[in-house]
Amino acid sequence: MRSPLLMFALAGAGTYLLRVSMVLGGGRLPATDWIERRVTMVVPAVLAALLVSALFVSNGERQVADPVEIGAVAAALFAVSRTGNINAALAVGLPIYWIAALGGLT
Amino acid sequence: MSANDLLEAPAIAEGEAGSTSPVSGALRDVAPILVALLPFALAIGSASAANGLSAVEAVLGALFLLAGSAQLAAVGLIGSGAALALVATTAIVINLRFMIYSVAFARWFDEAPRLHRLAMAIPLVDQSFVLCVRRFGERTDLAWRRHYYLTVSASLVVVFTGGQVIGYFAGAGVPPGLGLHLAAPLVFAAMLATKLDGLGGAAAAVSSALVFVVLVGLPGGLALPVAVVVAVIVGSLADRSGDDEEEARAS
Repeated sequence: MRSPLLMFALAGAGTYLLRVSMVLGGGRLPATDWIERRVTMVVPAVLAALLVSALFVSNGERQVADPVEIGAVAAALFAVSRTGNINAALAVGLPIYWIAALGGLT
Repeated sequence: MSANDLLEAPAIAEGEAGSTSPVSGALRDVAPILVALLPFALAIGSASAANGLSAVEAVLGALFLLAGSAQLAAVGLIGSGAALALVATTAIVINLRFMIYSVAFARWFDEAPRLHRLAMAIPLVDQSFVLCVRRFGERTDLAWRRHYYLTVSASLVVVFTGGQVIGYFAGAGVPPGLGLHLAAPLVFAAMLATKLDGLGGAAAAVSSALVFVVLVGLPGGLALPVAVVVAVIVGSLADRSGDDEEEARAS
């Protein structure tokens, strides 16, 4: 069954449980070192897959990515890793894209 | 910055926090964040329309999740025909960081009635966590913290959902030159950049990206979970070899 509302409701319920996990669990993280190390790998793995999906996949098929978009994303990645500020991604990436668009590069 | 560093981050201007109105302090603190949030919300709304969601589904999706990057991922997966379990699991994995926020949240409001805490946790997001962890010091009492947190949260929810509604209906009217379609990869890149501590995380990210690109097109969106499983194995091996090298250097 493909129901976006049901998908959002399930994801929202799971997310809410994460938000209240420590209210319900007494404020202590129950995770062991082993679980914690696996989780620290799952999150970058999912994000990396979503990132390449956004750049290199269209309608479920591989596509040749726009070099300007790759450059903007790479600059954003660098800016956030240097500053630790997530907002730096949009602040750096979008202007690079706008300048390239004004120059007729996209 | 690690989770522990964030939780232990010193409150800014503790004296000021105790004497300033929590509402005006919250509005002043959250204003620049709202400016940064708006283009992101516009992009999610536009992506919802492009992936065939109705306006009601888009708005309820925003309100059910209150988490932009997870919603953006879910919208893309729904558009590609992914199965229910994959969409929900992906969104929840992206939101695992909320467990860390929950530790701080439980401490901020431990004197509040349990029912209040359960309700107030609904809009707990990245931005409210970052602002509150910096603002809430010893000298702020429960009422001050509650008003500050709720003002920040309400402002974020209004801009987040309002921006999505505008983005949804503006849809095709938004000039492609604005690059709103880039908001998704930029946000994923930003979150990824903060998660690349250590060899294991970096190895997991690179291997996941490679496996995903090779396997894209597998039915039911299977490329993502397969890529993640491979990435965790590769990351664990890299982690272990990094530990071995450190031990060898130490001895």
